[in-house]
Amino acid sequence: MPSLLKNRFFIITVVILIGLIAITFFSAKQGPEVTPVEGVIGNVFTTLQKAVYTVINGARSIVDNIAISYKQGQNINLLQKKVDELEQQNSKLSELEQENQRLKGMLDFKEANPQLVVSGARVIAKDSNNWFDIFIIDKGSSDGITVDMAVVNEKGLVGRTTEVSEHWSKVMSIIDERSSVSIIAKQTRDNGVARGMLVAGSGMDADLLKVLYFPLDSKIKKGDEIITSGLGGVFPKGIRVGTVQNVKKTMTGEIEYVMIKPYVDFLRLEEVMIIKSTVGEIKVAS
Amino acid sequence: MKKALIVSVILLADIIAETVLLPFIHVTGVKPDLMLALIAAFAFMDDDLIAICIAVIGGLLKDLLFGIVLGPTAIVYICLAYSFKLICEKVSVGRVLMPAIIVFDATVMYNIFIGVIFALLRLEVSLKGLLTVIVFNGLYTAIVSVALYNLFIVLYKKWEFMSKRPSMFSEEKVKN
Repeated sequence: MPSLLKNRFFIITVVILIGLIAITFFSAKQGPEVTPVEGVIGNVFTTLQKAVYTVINGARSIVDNIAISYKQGQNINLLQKKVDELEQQNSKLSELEQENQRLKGMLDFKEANPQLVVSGARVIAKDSNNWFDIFIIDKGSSDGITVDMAVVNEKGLVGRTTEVSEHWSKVMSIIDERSSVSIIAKQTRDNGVARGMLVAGSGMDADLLKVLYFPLDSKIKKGDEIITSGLGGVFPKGIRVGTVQNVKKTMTGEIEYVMIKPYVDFLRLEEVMIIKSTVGEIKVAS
Repeated sequence: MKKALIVSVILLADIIAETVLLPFIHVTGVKPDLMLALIAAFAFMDDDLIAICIAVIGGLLKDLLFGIVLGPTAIVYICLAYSFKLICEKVSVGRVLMPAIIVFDATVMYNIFIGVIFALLRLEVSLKGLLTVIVFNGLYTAIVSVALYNLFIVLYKKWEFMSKRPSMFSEEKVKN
């Protein structure tokens, strides 16, 4: 121990560690408000992330298009230059078309739910951590966003805002381990709580929700649709959540838990809508 | 000054890549921990001060951007950075195998630590999910870390100023 105390590096590390622990306690006490310092740093990073995200999204679509063209064997030399030019144009148009489809879906959602005040936002960064599912959107308090607003896209429920700065907000998706959503089965009208669960994998095995507290005698079956129940005061009633993928029963045939596959593809989130209306008695047409 | 600038650019590039690029290049839904890979690479270069700085600043930035509470990621990273320093003092890390094993082990411990925290918070974690994250995150991070470490070896050789340490730490290294 005395030799450790002579070690400057050890002392500095311990001092920093104590400082960090103090910051953690202070931050935990402070709650979800974003401090001015956090806001400024966040503004700088979200601006950078937004720019890079846009470039990468564009690059990805160009790479996808080039890969498709390569598979189709379009390698005639004389036309190659022309094809390249057209590919570039096609890639841009394809990206615009896809964006158009997504925005059209959002518009359809907005038209189907005129009672909701919604605001569109772009996803500008995603948490790279494998344990949590948080992403950042480019709308904040200056756009009327507050904490605990429901976030949706044209396919269904995405999550809720957890922290709001002036120009950006953090959204906790429903598949985050810490998220829980009060849900109702559309066909059987059974209530339950859907929680995010760490289920790594891809395709049908990824991003599942586990429903707890379903009535033991529920008649729910694979393929049934799940919507929000409106309980809890965050998510309006009737927003599409997902479909039942698996019903786990006990030996005596009672419901143990139900796994849901969300409608939203969380790996490919680009645009979302924030529901600004207060929950109250809002009922969403699904 | 030059070194600080280059390290800042590397840190900035790392966090941008981690938050913007990685969501597109996951393997079975698992992404590498680029920040941990970066900390390990600097620690293997015997640049402990930079490793600690990256751990603190990078960890705080990640908490600020994605965490609910400021600090936990920085605390875990600084502990790992210090562990890397201790390991590097005891063993010769070489260029590929040992760094990969050390980073894989560190990532496994990091994920188990989070798993335990989740269990204490009574958040349910599937065993399959936990194992997938542990194995793929460990392998992925180890590969990235070894690549970064070898890149830094070249970089440190090319730019001599990168090998300079603050005087108070370089003296201590000589004594040790």
